[in-house]
Amino acid sequence: MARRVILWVAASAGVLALVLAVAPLLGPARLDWSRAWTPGTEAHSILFTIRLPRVLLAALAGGALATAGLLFQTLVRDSLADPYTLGVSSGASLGAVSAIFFGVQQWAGVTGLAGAALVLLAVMRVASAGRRMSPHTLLLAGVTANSINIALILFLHSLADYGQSFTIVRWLMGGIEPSGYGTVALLAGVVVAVAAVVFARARQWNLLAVGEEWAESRGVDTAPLVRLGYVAGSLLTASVTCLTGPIGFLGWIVPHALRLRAGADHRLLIPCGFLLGAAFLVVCDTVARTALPQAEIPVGVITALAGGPFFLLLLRRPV
Amino acid sequence: MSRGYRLSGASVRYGSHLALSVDALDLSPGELTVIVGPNGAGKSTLVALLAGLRRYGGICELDGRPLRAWTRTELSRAAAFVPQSVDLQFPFTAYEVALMGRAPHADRLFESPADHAHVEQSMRETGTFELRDRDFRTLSGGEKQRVVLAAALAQSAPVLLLDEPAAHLDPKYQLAVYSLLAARAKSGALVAAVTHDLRLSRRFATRTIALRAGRIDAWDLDPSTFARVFDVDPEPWLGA
Repeated sequence: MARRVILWVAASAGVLALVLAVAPLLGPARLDWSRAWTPGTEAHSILFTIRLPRVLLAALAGGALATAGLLFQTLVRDSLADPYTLGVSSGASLGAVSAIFFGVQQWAGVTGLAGAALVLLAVMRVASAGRRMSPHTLLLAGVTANSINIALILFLHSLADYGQSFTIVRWLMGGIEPSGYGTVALLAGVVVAVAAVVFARARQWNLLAVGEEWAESRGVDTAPLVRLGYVAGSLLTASVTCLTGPIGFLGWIVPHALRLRAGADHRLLIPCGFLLGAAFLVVCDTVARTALPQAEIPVGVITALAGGPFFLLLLRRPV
Repeated sequence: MSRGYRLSGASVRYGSHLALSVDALDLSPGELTVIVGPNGAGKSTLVALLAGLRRYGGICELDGRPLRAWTRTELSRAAAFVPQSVDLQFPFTAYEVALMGRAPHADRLFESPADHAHVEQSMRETGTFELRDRDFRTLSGGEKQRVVLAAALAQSAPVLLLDEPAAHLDPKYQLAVYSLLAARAKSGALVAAVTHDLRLSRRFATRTIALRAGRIDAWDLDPSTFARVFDVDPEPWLGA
């Protein structure tokens, strides 16, 4: 059992390592490879200050979204849940769109986090009103929060002027924007720490995935565990969404596809989901920035177009 | 070794509905107690209460200590609970489900070889070891029930609480499960099972509790009690 987990994790890490090694070498600009390793040259700066941080950002975002999606699926015991189901990400979008609308776009990250936090608190408050935090109520509250946020975003968008409107739509499409190492390091700190906390409870997620009473009669205090899971998943989703906007599909497809192939044990799903989610988004972002000669395709379009048919194939093959 | 349960004026409410109210009840090691009664009489609530899964008023003690003072881990080492049914949304194998019974004892990321030995033995006892690699969701109702029982046996707890453990089983496994429970009780375990298998459970039980409308109505199941508790002529069940 432990052996199987180690093999899967090693294979996933191998895939990610390969993707991370190749992706920065690809791009619209032709690089002079003989000079790319010398500081001060144009090739060096394209490789190390433009492409590499972007690839790393994509990897962190993909890993975080896959982990958050997996966590939310477990919490509500529904493999159709994703990082956006519980409303946190649309809260982040509303925050960011508000910043654009009120002309303080440089604060979009902060208002995005604030929006996510408000939704998180509201949904948790509603869902924990009863005897225990019910997955069903969590789901209903999250979906409702989503609708409210989207309505407010549409409302702001309808009032926005032409320039703002373009920025808002572009933001809502999602994408890996070029960013500095500072941002990448900050995100890495948050994502790795939260993912480690989540992984440390892998056996407890297994028990919770069966049911709350099942977990409780096997020694798990479920109320704090569910709260922790919701906060951790929200933190992962919100910190990524503030930097990239919403990127769909990946968050539910990666854990779902992995379960079809590798089973339901979270000791395998959490690390492999993170590593393969990271690899998947790096590949998609590389396609997004290289497929068309003059323009960039929003990465969300690629995740759905590339992942969708692949997933349908997985569903068709007998397990 | 468990010293057993003591309930006194214990009650469980769902909202304003009083689901269970027990004036006095003692359960001791070495006994196989069956809990019978009509639908909605509070049978499941009683075993869930004993398993520490319900908030209660009054006194409910295990080994002389109020249930609400136990931590979940302590209690799960002392008492194993078999729910009425387990529905999975995710593709755990039968072995993985049974292995979850070792959760109260495992403190590392992976279970020890001793844990695996426990699980293998429990699966063999319930005739489920051959099913170990199957996706739990593809098992029949009776097979699922036996895997869940294996998970509870693997918990190695001195108290076994079961909610209709044989409801979906064929005659061979009904007999096997009751023999197994009786053997556990004989070797010192405290076993309490909710059941509707009135004929079979009568043969193995050392004690019967008949519930009606949330209260203990009788301590036996002779024809007159049967007629009162279930509101039906007992002849088809108790007759020769």
